[in-house]
Order: sequence, then structure tokens, then C-alpha cells
Amino acid sequence: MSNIVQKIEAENTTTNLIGRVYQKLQNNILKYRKVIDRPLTLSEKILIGHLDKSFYSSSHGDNDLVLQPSKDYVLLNPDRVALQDVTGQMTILQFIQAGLKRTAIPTTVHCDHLIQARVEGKSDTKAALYENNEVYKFLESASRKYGIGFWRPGSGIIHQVVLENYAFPGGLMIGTDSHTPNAGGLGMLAMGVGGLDAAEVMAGLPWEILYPKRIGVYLKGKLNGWTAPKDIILYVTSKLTVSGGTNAIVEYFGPGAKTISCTGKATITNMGAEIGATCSVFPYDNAMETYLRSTKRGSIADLADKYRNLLTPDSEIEQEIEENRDNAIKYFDQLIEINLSELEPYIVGPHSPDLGRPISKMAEDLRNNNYIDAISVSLIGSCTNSSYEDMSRAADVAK
Amino acid sequence: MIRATIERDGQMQLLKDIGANVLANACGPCIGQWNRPELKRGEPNIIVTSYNRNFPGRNDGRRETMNFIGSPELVIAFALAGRLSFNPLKDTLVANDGTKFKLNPPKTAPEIPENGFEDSMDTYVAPADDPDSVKIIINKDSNRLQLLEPFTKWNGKDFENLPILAKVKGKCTTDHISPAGPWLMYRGHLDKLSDNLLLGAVNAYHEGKIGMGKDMLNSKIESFAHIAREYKEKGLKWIIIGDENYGEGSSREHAAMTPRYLGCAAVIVKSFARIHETNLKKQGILALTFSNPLDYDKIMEDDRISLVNLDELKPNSSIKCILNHTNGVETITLNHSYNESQIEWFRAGSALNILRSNEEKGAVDKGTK
Repeated sequence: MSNIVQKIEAENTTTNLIGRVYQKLQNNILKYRKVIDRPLTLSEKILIGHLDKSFYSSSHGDNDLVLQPSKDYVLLNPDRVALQDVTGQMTILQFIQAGLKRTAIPTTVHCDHLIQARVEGKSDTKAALYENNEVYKFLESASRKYGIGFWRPGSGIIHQVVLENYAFPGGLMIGTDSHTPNAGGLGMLAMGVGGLDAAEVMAGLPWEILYPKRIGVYLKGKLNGWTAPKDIILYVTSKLTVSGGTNAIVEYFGPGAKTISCTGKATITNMGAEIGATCSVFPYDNAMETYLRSTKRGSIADLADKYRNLLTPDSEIEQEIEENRDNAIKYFDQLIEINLSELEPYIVGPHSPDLGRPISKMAEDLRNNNYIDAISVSLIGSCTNSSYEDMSRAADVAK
Repeated sequence: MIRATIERDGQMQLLKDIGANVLANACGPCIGQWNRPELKRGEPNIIVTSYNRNFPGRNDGRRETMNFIGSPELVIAFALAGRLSFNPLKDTLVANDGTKFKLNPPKTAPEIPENGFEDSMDTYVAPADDPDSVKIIINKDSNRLQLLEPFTKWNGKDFENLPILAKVKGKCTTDHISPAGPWLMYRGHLDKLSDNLLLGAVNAYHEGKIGMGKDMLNSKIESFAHIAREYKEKGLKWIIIGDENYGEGSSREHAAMTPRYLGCAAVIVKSFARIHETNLKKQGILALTFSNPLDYDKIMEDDRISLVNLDELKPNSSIKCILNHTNGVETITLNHSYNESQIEWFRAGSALNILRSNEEKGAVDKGTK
């Protein structure tokens, strides 16, 4: 294994890579603190930590260096690119058109979207391998040629595999799938992009984005009974609606955030895509550390522990907001507060993810809208909810 | 990894014991990759899922399927009850022997299994040691994959008297513009994929007609893709008019590439979803918004649209839009969010054209060409 470590550095998340990222975070944040006279949120730290060098080399007056949400365009250097087998095809076709020999930054392809659910897992996967043979062959050969890591069909859903292998706190990743923000559960800014954006970044170009607004979600208390991490995001989605998060990063914080498991956090950041959010993120905490250690990434946990201050918001922010909610406006465009101890299970639908109500109101809503009561099929899983915790809770109910 | 671990630790069996069917380790029904032959055409039905999206037709291609989303534990409770009005916190169920019982709330579950995670079969392929020897094969006659041709550079002229392909009413997500499901197999073949253009879009003029509109050349009502191909054949560019949050949903740039490929010059809407707006700009389509959203109502089916003084396009400028109605002319103002470098994408025909020419230039400079 050790003699191919050097070669596999290219597409993997190594401690070398992360070490460089944290150095840059440290340097950039230090520079930024000279021009901004207030504490920094986590989103700001990661964004500023990934600014392209051109930001500092062009001549700005000092005031120009303070970034204005929804106004300034910034160039960022992502650490990773993630592609799935449906959107990845067009991305790679565009990358080929650009004429490069190799991807400039770590990239992976995940074959999860083409398999169709017909009967059951094994035969469906086999059928997919047969029907999509030429596509898988194309993706695999292109991956091998251009330095991209390739996950064959049957490996699992991209966002779960990324969380288990590639995501890391404080990183910046783009992916050609709108649920790329799933990695926010590990304290990463991970954003969904079109294939051409991805192809350009794979070619070594920086990625341009309108500097996002920030929506703060202050969590207190602890989930109990039937209520699950999913209900937090279902609640937020019903409050903000499908366009309420456009051009914003949703930043979760507070004592309640620490009580949620890493994969539970990922469920929440995953579905943030449904409010049009650029992405969502949680601060680095013990739950993330535990998850890293249990997925054979103890050395990454060690690094993150050492640089915790880069991977969490400045502590004054929570203190100020706890003292007086009006202080939130200094840091966030909007603040939502949730007491997890009192949150009810939520159900959203039909036809739009923002049409929500707590379960206590479901029967009434059914009657008022004349929805059919009988359920035809129930489905669990998907990138939003396939963690060990999710499956265990589901199985517990079944028991 | 999770699948292997829950097989080992028993959760899989518990779920199978209540009759669960285990599908493949993939997205499947969440993205429309779900075959339901037992469901009659047009039959309204309810499903409950722990997924993230529930747009009409999203899960099984059927618009009459209503997807209610909840947490996985709640979904199992619903599965056991079989009805949406069930509240596990309050209601009781009836067992096979007639006794009533209430479901206990699920216990706090471990995120990390006691025995660690189980490694699944090795399905990872590392990049080649000798990349130059790797050949990429795309069959000439393939109907799945097609090498791309660059989109044409802007000719510097204004867009004059363009027909409206579609004035879309209401919610128009990327699933409406470029549906997935059976179309996923063409995601590597731009030409074949383009047949799904706006298949889910609701036509503002003929609300019952989804995915169809009026061909201005022969006044027939046909699918949008069919009309667009007709226009493309005649070298005629065209316009899409949209509503609020147009392009909501996924990041698929196919929703911008297929209209571009079939000749779309501009998309004019009340408001855009972020990712789709960027995709339109990158693929060389003019992404514009109504200065006054109420102007959306002024657009008539037979209008011919002109966008003028495009060579003056710059950040924060507005664009003059002339509506040539059959019975008169009206002018409205449109806005855009292009910055300096994005305007270059429009001029060059697409952002990729710029990337490629920079690469070629770089290679020439380095003497590698």
C-alpha cells in the first residue's frame, strides 16, 4: 500500500492537502482581520481562506477588501471536485474540449444515478451494468486518463461516499449535483455547480461566486422521542420556502448543534439545497471528530483538533446573540432560532419541499385538502438519510 | 459501507422482516429511476419518503404521485400504519391478533456502530499510471454519448423579431426544463437529450398543455422540442419567457445546454434560481429579468421580441426590449446580473470557448503546439 501512496495523493484527501489548506486559511484570515473589526462567522473564515491570490494582488483601498454579501463577486480556489455518473458525462465531455492532459485538483466520479430501481438491488445493479456499459466505460477510461478517482456502480450514493472518504472540516468543494452541500455535515463548504463550472475548476481556474449572504440558525436544546435531524431542516424549509435561501449560506450554531451526530448534520445541510441555499455548514465539534476517527481518518481529526479555531465561528458571536438577539444582524442577514427539545416531527409535501406542517396537524391538513389517506409505497434511504443512525432508528421502529 | 454494516448488525433484517424490499445502492426512486408497472396511468397515489425532493413526477415520472417527505423513522411508522393521517405520537395500531398498540419512539441510535464500519466490496478504480496510453472510446453511432461541438460565437448583432418558444407559467424547475427519469440515459448525448426540452413546463397560453406550444411557422400545437428543432433548421433563434425562481432545483447545465443547442437566444423571467442563471450565462444564453415583473403579463403568444443595443451590455446596465405585438408595438426594460467577465462568455458564445482558446494560446506560448 505504501509505495502507491504518492500516486494516490492526486485524487485523495491527504493530510498534506489539508495541511496546506489550513495554512492558507490561517494566513488569509489573519490578513482579513486587519481590515474588518468584528468577529468572524465560520462561513466567512472558509470563504476568505479560499480566496484566489488575485484578490490580494490587485490594488484595492483598504475598505474595498471587506466583502459585501450579494454585491461582490469573488474568485475562490476549491480543494475538490465531485462528479456523479449522469452529470459527470457532460462535465468530462466539456473538460475534454478544453484540451488538458490532467485535472489540476483532486476529482472523483461516482456511479450512482444511472441504476434504475425495478425489482431489487443485486439484479438492478447487474441490469444497469449491462445497459449503461458504454457510459461506465467512457467515464472509467476518462477518469483513468485524466487523474480522476472512479467509483464503480454499486459503490453507493455520491454524497455518502464523499462524506466517508473525501470531505474534511474547513474545506471547499464543488460538485455537479445539487445535494453536494451534504458535506457541510463535516464542516465543509460544499456547493452544487453546473458541469462547466466544474470542468473549469478541474482545468485549474478559480471559481467565481457572488459573495453569499449568511442565514444563522441558532440551535438550543436536544432532539428527543420521534424528532430527528431531518425535522430540523424540514422546519427550516417550511419557514424559508424554496427560494428563501438563494445566494445565502445557512450557518448552524449553538449548543444544540453539538448534540447532533455528524451524519445527522449532513442530512440537514443536504436538504438545504431545497431552499436554494448556496450551501449550509456546521462548526467542527466532537461529533465530527468521532466520525473522522471511525472512518479511518484519525490523522485528519488530529489536524482539525489542532486548528479548531479556524473551523468554528469566533466564540463572541454566540455570546452576543445569546445576550441579545438583535446582535445577530451584525453577522447574519437573518436569524432563525429552534429549540430542539420542543421541535415536532414534520412532514412536507405534496409536490414541493416547503409545504410543511408538524405531524400533529397532518390529519387536519389531509381533510382540508382532500388528500388521499392510503399510502401506496414508503421509501427510505437516499443521500439525505442513509446513515447508520438513520437505518438504526428506522429498524427500531420496525421492531 | 453502510449497507454492509447494517447487514452485519441486523438493521437490514429487521426492515426486511416487515416486508421491506432492498433496492440497489444508488439514487433510484429519489431521482425518477423507478419503474412502477403496477400503477395505472394517471392514478393518483400517495407515497411517503425520507428523500429531499418531491416535485411532480420527480420520483416515478408520474405527476399524480404525491410525495410526502419526513424522517426515516416517521416513514417507517407510516409504512406500518398505511395511512397518512396516522400520528405515531398519539394514535394506536391494530396487530394481527386484534390488540391495539402504540409505537414506542425510536431509541437514540448510535451514529458509529459498536464494532466499527464494515468495509464493502472494493469498487474503487485509481487513475492510470500511464495516462497517455489510455484511449477514450466514444462510438460514432452511439445514442448515449456524443463529443461536443463548440457553441457559436455571438455575431455582434442585436436579436430582432424572435418568436417565443414558450411562455412558462408558475413553478419551472430544472426537472420541468430537462426532466430526468427516462431521459437520464441521454445525459451524454446533447442532441438526443434535447428532445426533452421543457417537457414539464406549463404553457401560460394553453394551461392544460404541458410541454407543448404553438409553432409560429405553421400555427400547429406541438412539443416545444419539436418546434425548436423546426426553428433551428430554419436558422431562427427564439426566446423563453418564465415566471418566479425559474430554473429552481438541480445544477444540471443540460437545462441550459439543450435550449442553447436548439437555438435559444435569451431567457427572460421574473426571477432566477442561482445555479440555473449561472448555467445559462455560461452556455451563452442571455439571462434577463423583467425590470417590472408585471411586464410578464404584457407578453402575447404571437409576439416577436427584439433585444437591442446589445453591444452596449455592461454591468448594471438595462436592456431595451421591444415587444412586436400583432396589433402594435410596446417597449419594456430588462435587467441582468452579468459582471465584466461574464459578458465575455456571452460574446464568445460560451465560457468553454474562452477556456479552450486560452488553453490553445497557452500551449502556443509554451511551444507545445
